[in-house]
Amino acid sequence: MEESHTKMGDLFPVNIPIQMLAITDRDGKVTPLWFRFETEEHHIEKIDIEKTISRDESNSVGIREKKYICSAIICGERRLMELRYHIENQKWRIFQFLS
Amino acid sequence: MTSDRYVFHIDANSAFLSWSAAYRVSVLGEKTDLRQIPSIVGGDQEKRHGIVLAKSVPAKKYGIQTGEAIVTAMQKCPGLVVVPPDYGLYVNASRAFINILKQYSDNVIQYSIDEAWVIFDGFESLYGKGQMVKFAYDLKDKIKDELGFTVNIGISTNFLLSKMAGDFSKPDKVHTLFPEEVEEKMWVLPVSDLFFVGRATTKKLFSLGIKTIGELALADEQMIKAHLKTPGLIVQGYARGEDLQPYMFTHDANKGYGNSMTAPQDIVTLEYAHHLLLSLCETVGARLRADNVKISVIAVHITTYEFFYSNKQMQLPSYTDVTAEIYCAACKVFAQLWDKRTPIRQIGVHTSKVQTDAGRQYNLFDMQRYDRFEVLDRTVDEIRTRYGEDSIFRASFLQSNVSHMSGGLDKERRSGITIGIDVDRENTRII
Repeated sequence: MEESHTKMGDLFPVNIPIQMLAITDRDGKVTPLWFRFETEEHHIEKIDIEKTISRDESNSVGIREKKYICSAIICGERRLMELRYHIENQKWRIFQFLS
Repeated sequence: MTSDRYVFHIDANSAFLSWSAAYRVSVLGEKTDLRQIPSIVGGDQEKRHGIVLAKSVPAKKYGIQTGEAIVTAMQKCPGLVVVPPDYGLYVNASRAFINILKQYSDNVIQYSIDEAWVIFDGFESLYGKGQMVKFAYDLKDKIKDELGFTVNIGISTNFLLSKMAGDFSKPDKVHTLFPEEVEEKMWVLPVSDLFFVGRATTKKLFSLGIKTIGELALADEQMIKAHLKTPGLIVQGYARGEDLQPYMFTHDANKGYGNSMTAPQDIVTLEYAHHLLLSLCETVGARLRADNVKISVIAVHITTYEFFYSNKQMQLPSYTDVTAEIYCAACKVFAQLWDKRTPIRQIGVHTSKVQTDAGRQYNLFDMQRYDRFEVLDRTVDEIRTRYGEDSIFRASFLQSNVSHMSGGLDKERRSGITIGIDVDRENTRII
């Protein structure tokens, strides 16, 4: 388990900005649909989000972010990841892989 | 004052370090927490600002002190982690911190970037008698949960005592210091721990045989006054638990305007010294004109590479705010001050005898171009306010390794801290 986590971290960079398509409901609820980013080999990698499991907000050190725990199928495996949206600069990023 | 009025002093524990640490852990997702390992926030060593700005608790155990050189800190603890400061982040954290306090009380008085007083008046009827300590714990934990850093809270009925209480022991603690507890909790502390007692006052008090706050409180007033004048009576009042004077929270008009800088490399030539003096005079002149004041005394001070300090001043024939005139005088003073051999590390220009609406005394032997210089300076100031500080500057600074306006806060800091605090000051109550 631990091994695949490090492997995942190597394959998919965390903390870099990603291009995101998300839907915003009439009540303001945001659901990420898919995102893409450029790998080190300059391939564009597109990830479809299967399900948004939970939503949260944080204001750590005064930086307001929306947190989304999502699942997606990556290389045939189901992965849990935490995506974050920085409210002030309006950028999305992968924060971490949870599985 | 009613008995229902409480004053909290709330202070972020090693603010810069814990803000950087919290950012790295909860925003960047890093695994190591700087607060758990020996680490410091340090200035830029290349610009020779290499001092310790904040330290973690483990770093403190190695005897590392705020303000000492990074080099000596590294000698004390070889594995020390040094991170650069991030002033933008600190302003953000400070604002969020003050905003949480404002959710509870409209009487928030921010004292510095990382500490504030909050007055809770009539809160006992809301939270119940004797529940203010419990409330303080909740507030402390709320800040920790929401913002990710710890604070100390000092509870009392006045400003001074709450500040003293906040400093008792750290981090992440709540202390009380009510007037009836002063004797037991505050009088046993060394006198140097008292608010407003610095190194010089401590030395004087030591020579009078006063070592603890209690001894100062009980000392003879006449003796204190004879040796320390009025400031002595004020700190003696503090030792007895009297509150801070309201003038602590107001800003007096400046008695002088000065700027200094540590040179990026030691000054060994006259040209380079003049270059830096011009850069400092630009800043001083702009500040004078911004406050609509003129000065008539100019002083220059230098610190040599061996940290010897010396200064000299001269009186001008008339009041002025003209950069060129200040620079000219500064060069003259500097010529008398420097032996042209000893490398200089730090240089500063200070002006005093401040006057508002001073007219000009024309001099028979002057070139009498000052009126035109005044117009020129004001035009330059206007261009800089409108289009940015770097929109116009003297050509001699084109290839220079120093900013055309030196001294004061670094650019990165200025844009952050000062603006941050000023904005909040507008909203906070001046008592």
